[in-house]
Amino acid sequence: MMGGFWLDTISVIHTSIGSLLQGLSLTASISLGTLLLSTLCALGLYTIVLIADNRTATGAVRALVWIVRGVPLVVIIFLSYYGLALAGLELTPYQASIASLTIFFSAGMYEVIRGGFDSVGKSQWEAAYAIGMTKGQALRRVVIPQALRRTVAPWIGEFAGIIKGSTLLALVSISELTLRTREVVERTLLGMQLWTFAALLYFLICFGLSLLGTWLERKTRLVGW
Amino acid sequence: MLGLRTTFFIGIGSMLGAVVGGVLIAIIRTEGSALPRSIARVFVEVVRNTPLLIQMFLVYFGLPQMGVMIDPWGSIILTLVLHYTAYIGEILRANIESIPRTQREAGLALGMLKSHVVRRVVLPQAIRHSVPAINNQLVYLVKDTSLSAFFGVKDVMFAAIRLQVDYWRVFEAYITVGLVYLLLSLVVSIIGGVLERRWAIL
Repeated sequence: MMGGFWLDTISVIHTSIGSLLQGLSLTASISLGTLLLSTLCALGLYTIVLIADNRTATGAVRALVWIVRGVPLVVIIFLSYYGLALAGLELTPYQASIASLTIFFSAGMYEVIRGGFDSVGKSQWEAAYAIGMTKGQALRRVVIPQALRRTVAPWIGEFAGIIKGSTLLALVSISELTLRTREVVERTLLGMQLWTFAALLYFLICFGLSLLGTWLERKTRLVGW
Repeated sequence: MLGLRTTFFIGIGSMLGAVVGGVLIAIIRTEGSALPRSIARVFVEVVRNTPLLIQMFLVYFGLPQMGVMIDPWGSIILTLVLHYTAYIGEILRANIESIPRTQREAGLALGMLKSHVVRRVVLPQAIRHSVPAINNQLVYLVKDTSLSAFFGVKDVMFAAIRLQVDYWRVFEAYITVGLVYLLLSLVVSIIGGVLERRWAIL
């Protein structure tokens, strides 16, 4: 490749890095907000399922989760972003972005939590009851500690998913990293360099998270089952 | 429904490409020599940790800049195939490696060539174990075809956006298209379920 390619690359990144980093901070902010809210919602949902202990309730929740996850994230974003305003709810773009992502990822987080708890075999519950624990005690002392450990890595994985999903907000004109990159590309026509740079940024974040997840998984593993 | 055929074609075409690609990647990563193995590993890690939309922009805008002329359809299908090849390849690789060494040793002990062993003993088992996970990825693929609407491809999502823009029907448009995608995911899941049962380990 000619020298011009690399000179262009350096110059465009040097010029636009400020704007791109602003976009990145918005991405981070929205992603963290979504992480918090979706985890809380999912915990709430799962708590309902645990307390109700009722086949219908569990079925209803699982059906709801299935529906939300079966619809493309774009559709949910469009539906909430444009639809919520019509339904009378006045939200800033920032709030609407977090709201729409939260709807989708609460379902994902629910599956993460459910997966963590399900992987703690029935035998653990039965053993707890066998020594006379109540349901609450069994939960607190036996099941939750084990489930928590198994949930950490998938939870971080889902967070990486949130970050990757936030890129779709560019399609509704939210000025996060992807949209900002697109703006610079439109001005300078240096798509290859800029999109590769954006990909690099996302890669560093997501790969870093995946390494963190693996490390945490090893740290919290107990010998035995 | 307008655009359904487009969504169909992009979906099925990408699925085939991704499954074939996935098998290739998995084989390279388990049987290949050092260099191909590392290249494949880097490919998988990079693609899995990068957002799909960014990959689409990269292919759609970047390739023409480098002189490779590619139309919207082509770039969408290429991106989807590359993206899901990485995920499916990773799933297959993990399942291949989880087949106990004893299976391989048994095959070799019976006098099979190494390639025979892989083809007749290890791969079929790995594939059977992978079906649910791969089926999951294919459902994600179907949902991700919706992004093609933003690159000028007239699929189901594009139709929904047109409905919203032209007729101001927000809820109807997106709820309908949501149902369409749910139905498509259901179809893929059912096919996967059938395959899973047909190939169930006895």
